[in-house]
Amino acid sequence: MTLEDFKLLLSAAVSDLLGTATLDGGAQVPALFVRNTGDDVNPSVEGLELVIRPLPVDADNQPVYGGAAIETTWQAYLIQWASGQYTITTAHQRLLHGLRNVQLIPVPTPDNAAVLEQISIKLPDTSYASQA
Amino acid sequence: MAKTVQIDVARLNRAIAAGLNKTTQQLAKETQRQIKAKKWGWPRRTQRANGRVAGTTRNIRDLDELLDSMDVLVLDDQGQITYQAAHSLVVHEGRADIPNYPGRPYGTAAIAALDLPTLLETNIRRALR
Repeated sequence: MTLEDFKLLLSAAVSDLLGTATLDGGAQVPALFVRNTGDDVNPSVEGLELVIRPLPVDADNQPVYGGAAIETTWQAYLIQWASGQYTITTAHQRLLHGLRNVQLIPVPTPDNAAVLEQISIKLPDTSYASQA
Repeated sequence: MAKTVQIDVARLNRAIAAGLNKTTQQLAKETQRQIKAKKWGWPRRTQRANGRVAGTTRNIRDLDELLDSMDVLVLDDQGQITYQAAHSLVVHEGRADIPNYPGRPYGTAAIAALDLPTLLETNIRRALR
């Protein structure tokens, strides 16, 4: 599986449930971002945001760039921002029933009042190493 | 002539229970070892509540709230290791609503570090001796 495959899998399931983000120039786009730990968060998102990590990781959460014959896991997050439409429950149901072997784990963040709920999405991928 | 093999089901069940118990304890120990290991990547240095400064590769200890919150439960057909601390999930999974909060999956790492099926088999065989 490639990043593009993973992105397509997730967006096929939840794209109509995503909120919006406003870019620097004022354009409004669906709230779907590929970003690493350390990258800035777009502060304008309303509703449901899907954040996809660009590289799969190993069991120690280390990014895997390909080549090693180990099982990797793709990671993403659903973030339900307090402003905008509340759709995370529907998104959760669709991913749960639509993706085999997916792990959906709630991530409580009570220190951030702007976030109502957050779910960590993990999808194991044994094919990544051989395709890289 | 028919040959009769007698199986001592009670003894077998006792061995399975003992094997599952031992394997669960070994996994619990490994999970605690993962939390103590100074191996987890973090994007910056941090002043911790315990007064020390943690670097870019660190353990998950600080005041040991997570480490001390572990509960181990062995049922008939499964072993459960639970971390009761409120931040146990966010530490394991990381978060994406702020820039710098990588996951540190101490449970996944512990499971990957052990060959659990072989360990369980060995523990059951030992209990049958």
